[in-house]
Amino acid sequence: MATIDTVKEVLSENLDIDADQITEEATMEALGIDSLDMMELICDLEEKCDVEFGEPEGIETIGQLVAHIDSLK
Amino acid sequence: MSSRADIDDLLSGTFNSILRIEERSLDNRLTEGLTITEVHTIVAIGMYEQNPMNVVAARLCVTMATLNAAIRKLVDKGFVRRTRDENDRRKVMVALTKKGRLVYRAHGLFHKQMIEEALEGLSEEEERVLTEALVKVKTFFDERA
Repeated sequence: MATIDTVKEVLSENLDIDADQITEEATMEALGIDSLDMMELICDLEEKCDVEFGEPEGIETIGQLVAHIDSLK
Repeated sequence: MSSRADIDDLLSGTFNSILRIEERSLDNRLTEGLTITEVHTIVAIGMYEQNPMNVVAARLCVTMATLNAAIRKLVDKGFVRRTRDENDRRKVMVALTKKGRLVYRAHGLFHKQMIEEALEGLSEEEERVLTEALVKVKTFFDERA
């Protein structure tokens, strides 16, 4: 499964965010993802994508999140 | 110019305020029900590490008996898992579960936000001088701790 689809799946399940809203350009802020939501999202993605996400700074969009995960694979 | 008594008050006051703020920061859905000591035990284990108990005990400056009791509770609560060292099956290792990693991250976020907000009013020069002075003061305390 492409990383963006995994992100969509987790966000739809956890935060009930409409998958159509989850585009590469969408910012976390625009999607209503707060800092604690982000922590949960990262831990879920670590498990589903089998990566160690680390503690990168400056991830503001879904595209940046996807690119970071893909760089770890 | 501050008197030495003022500096004493400032150090003790800052230390106590940080502890109180940190205690209050636990009131969120990721760390609810944990004590600050338990959060610090989770942090000492490390986000992705598998560590022997003695390493974690040394990081926390506690005895093995104290750590054992703390780890037992954290295992029961689902934040920590015990594993065996692959090279020496007699050795017990500890690592964080997904729930534990969430707490680790939430705690890191709290510290990052606290420092950013606390230093907001300082100029770059003030921040540099504060850092240099704190390094010296901390070295003194670390040597006597």
